[in-house]
Amino acid sequence: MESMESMERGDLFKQVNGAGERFRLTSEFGDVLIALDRRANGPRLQIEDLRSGRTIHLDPLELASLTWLTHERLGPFLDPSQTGWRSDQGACE
Amino acid sequence: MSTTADPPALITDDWRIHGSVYTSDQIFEREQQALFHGSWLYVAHESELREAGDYKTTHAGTQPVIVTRGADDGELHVLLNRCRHRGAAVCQAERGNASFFRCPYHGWTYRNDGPLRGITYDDAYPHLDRDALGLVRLPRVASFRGFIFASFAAEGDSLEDYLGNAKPYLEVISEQGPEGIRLSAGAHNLTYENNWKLQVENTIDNYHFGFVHRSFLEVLADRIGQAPPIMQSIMLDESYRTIDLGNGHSVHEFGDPRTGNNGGQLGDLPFNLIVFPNLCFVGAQLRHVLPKSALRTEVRLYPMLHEGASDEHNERILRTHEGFYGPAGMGGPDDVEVAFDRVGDGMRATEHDWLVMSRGMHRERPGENGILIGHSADEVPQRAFYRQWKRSMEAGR
Repeated sequence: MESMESMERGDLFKQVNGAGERFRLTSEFGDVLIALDRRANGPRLQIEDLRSGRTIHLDPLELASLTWLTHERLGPFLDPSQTGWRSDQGACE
Repeated sequence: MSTTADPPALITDDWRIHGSVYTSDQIFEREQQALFHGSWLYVAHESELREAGDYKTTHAGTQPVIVTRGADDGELHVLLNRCRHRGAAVCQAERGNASFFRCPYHGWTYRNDGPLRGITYDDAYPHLDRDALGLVRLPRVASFRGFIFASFAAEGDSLEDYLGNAKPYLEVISEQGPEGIRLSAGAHNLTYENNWKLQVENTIDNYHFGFVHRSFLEVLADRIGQAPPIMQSIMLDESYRTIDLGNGHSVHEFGDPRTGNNGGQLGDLPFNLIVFPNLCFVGAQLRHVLPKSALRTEVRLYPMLHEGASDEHNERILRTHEGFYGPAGMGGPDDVEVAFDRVGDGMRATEHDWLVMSRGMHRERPGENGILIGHSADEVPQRAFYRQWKRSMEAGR
């Protein structure tokens, strides 16, 4: 894991398009590693939750579609009983 | 005198102030209701919350709050920083960006404008009224020239009415840089074991300057050949004046409030300003005074950088600020030692437990809009503060 500090938005592009292809975003609530993944037939964004170890890959169309979200519509994913802390599954972190 | 005395009786007509105003836990608790629970309280500057989702933590009186810019609506909100479950502070960082907050204790998760969005293992709460368990919002939030205030009271004077005669000075402060000001340098914090009002009083107290800051004047004399005539100006320059602005606010002008100066040694503002009860401006700094208990205070000092100015210019602001007010500065630590710590030592002697705050009361003269104007070294700002303190404590009975 790279030990990179969270970055400003302007630095994000520099890292993705430049030599570095991974960066880490940390807040008091979350800690994720973002990577440009070129292993597949097309480029994907890889997000790894460093607390749970869970990973997702998002392709350009999925990412473009995310721009239609409001934060409120993203809300169900922030409900911990739906994502990580379900009583029938136990803790994921 | 017992500390259970009626607070207004603790200030006499000839301007003696009883020591318990500073030392009594009961007075402190009453202040929290009478001064900090009804009026407008400064919480943040808009430059600290420019992007949707930005937040900062601070205090409204003794109560911890989160100031947020809504992730979707971009509006400013002030929320109590207390999880509705078991009371933990939800946000710990001094500043950050988050659309949702997750409590570190049991994971309850809130939208950054307050509503409860989810609970961990929530099948244990079949009947919980989640809509009633959002982070508590302060009912009123308003901004004047970038300065954000909030109030625990749902009704009352508008922010502009409350600021009153202090508004023109806040306008000047907001226009210090070519494109305004920003608090992007953050703050340095100091803590002392004494009452919060001592820091407010010390913000405009020109009488002390030649005593507490004598070493500063001597260092300047060594460096530039002679000490700047700060005390001479305070004592003799009639354009230097202290003003009771009403509503507890006060100012010390160094000549014209737009162009005056203080010798260029203490920062850029052409005046010192106190906005009742706990917001101060001095030098190039916004000073937020945070009461913790009767005998404990935290102060956050935010250098105000000039938006649109060069980095070199803003560096000079920071270095000048640090030179006097910084932890190793030539002025601020002396204020802490003498005006707070030594006052604390002295006021443990309580046989004759009164302070004298009458300096220059005979020569206060009325000005326009109900203001009272006095000599630069007189205790006009202190009396302005305690006039409003007395009114608020009476109203809060």
